[in-house]
Amino acid sequence: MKLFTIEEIEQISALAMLDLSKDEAERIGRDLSNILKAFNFLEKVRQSDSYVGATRQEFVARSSNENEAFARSDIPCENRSHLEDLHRVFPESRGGFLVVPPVIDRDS
Amino acid sequence: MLSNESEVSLVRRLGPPPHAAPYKSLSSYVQMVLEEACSIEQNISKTLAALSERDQYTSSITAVFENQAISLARSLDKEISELGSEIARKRPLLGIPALFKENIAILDAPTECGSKILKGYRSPYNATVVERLLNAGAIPIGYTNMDEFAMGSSCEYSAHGITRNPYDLNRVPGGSSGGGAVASALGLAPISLGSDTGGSVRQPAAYCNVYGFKPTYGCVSRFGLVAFGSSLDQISPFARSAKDLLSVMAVIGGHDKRDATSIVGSFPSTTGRLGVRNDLREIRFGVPRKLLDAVLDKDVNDAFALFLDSVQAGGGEIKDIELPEIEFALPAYYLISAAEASSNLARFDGLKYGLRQPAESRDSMVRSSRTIGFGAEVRRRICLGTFVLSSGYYDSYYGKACAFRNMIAQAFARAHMDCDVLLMPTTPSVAFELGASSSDPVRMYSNDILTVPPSLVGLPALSVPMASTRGLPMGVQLIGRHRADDFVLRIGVLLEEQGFCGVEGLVCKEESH
Repeated sequence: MKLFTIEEIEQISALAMLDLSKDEAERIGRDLSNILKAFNFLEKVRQSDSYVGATRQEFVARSSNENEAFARSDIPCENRSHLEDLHRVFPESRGGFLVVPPVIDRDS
Repeated sequence: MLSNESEVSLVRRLGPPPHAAPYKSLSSYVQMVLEEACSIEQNISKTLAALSERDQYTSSITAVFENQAISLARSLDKEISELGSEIARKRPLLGIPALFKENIAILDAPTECGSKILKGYRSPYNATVVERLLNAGAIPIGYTNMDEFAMGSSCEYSAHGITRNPYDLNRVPGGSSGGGAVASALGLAPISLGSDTGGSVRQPAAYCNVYGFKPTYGCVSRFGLVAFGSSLDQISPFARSAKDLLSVMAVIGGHDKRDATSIVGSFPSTTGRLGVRNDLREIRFGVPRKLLDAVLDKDVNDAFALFLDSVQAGGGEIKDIELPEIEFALPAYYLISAAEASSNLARFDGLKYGLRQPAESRDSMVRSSRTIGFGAEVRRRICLGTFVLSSGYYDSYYGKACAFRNMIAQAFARAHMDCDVLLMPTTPSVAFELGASSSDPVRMYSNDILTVPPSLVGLPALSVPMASTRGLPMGVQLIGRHRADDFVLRIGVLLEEQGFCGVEGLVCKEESH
């Protein structure tokens, strides 16, 4: 069964601007694990089946607009005052604030 | 198929619940008012006075606009005295009381969306649907309860408290527009508007023995509807007859330049060859039996079998269709709606309006306001949405869900080539008990398995009262082609006129005693 660690839920909740108690973080981690487990048959779906659900690379190849959008070099929220906070909570050494650590497979 | 008479008795149709108002539909309400020959002001005063008594056990109303409603009624009375009978042409819903889900903006009204984070917020403008109903002569009299930000299937997740099912006070009315369904069932007002994202109007309509209609996405303006899942949300009406839904849709439907997703064109918009028909004989109903066998409770399955027999006996053609994809619509829906919700709800930060928790810094104020302001279910969905949109997981979850959405649209298009309208129960079971699903989100989400697929691809879908078991209502859902709203509603009217569905009377066979 896929499980979220408390640290992962804390990172998600920080991105969502929520302060979760340890109990709630555990409960939400458990709920998200159950939801994703119940929905794991989505793996059967191939993204190439749909333009809408295409990967970024496919989007870029197919659309000049998207190509321009993804080619932007500026950093999102560069001038926001809370960028420093995000860097503090999500240091580059741990992948930065745009990367949530992978879900760990564990036997429950 | 049912085998013996005792099982047949399971599917007796219900009448109105206890405490319901004595009228049956919008037209009978107007008739009742005309017979009493009272002014609009007197009638609105009586309606307002009856609200608290009729709603005392169910708690479906969250706010009453007494002063505004009386003032509006007076101005309409004045207009009648000036214009005489001319006014009926100008205002087709003259003096009709209307209730709105709490996420539809009404000027100066507490549009709190069932959430603590919007406590005290008053909308500075009217939603397009409100403007259109006001222009038609309807009078907004109050807000109805809802799951917080329309996230829920039970009307248990509201900052105002729970709403109860009028047929069994220990059961849920469905959700998220549960308050609107209860209000319609009790006849608190002939017009009741909700919003349907994944079944939020059809499911409570089925649980509360009323009609609920989700129009084609873009058919009714979303301007003034507080967004949950922007690509799924649709303002949708409840009523006690299919004809009433047609009347309301004729007023609220149609293009609105203030909504970028609004379809250009006016309502009704009947699709090509389907046209308007006067009987069931030429209508092909598609039934995905294999899927239904796997998901329906026995009672619902039995009632639906009898319903199909009735429709067939009435001349309708029943066709088995394959629609395996819709079994997988649920995960796609919950991933997409959570992703959109996490984005839409980012605006509630305590800075601009709503709840603000004092804190040392701006960021901790935002986090604290959002944590205290949002309820548990909303926090759970925001976390799910944030996760599926995060770098590294976007393609694995959100991208796949979007791919699936496209596949299910193709599946519906294939199915509609073999039939005019799809037919299936609205919900897999009857209303569940209060608290039964609150600790298990997956179980709660699975109640939406039959209402989510048409929402995902924006098709029109109508839930009509089908039957009941042990005093609890069940609904059947008609899913039409894209923009065939008028056609779906007219089939609803035909089914109602021929006695196959409806709020009162017997559907299939008399109850055996």
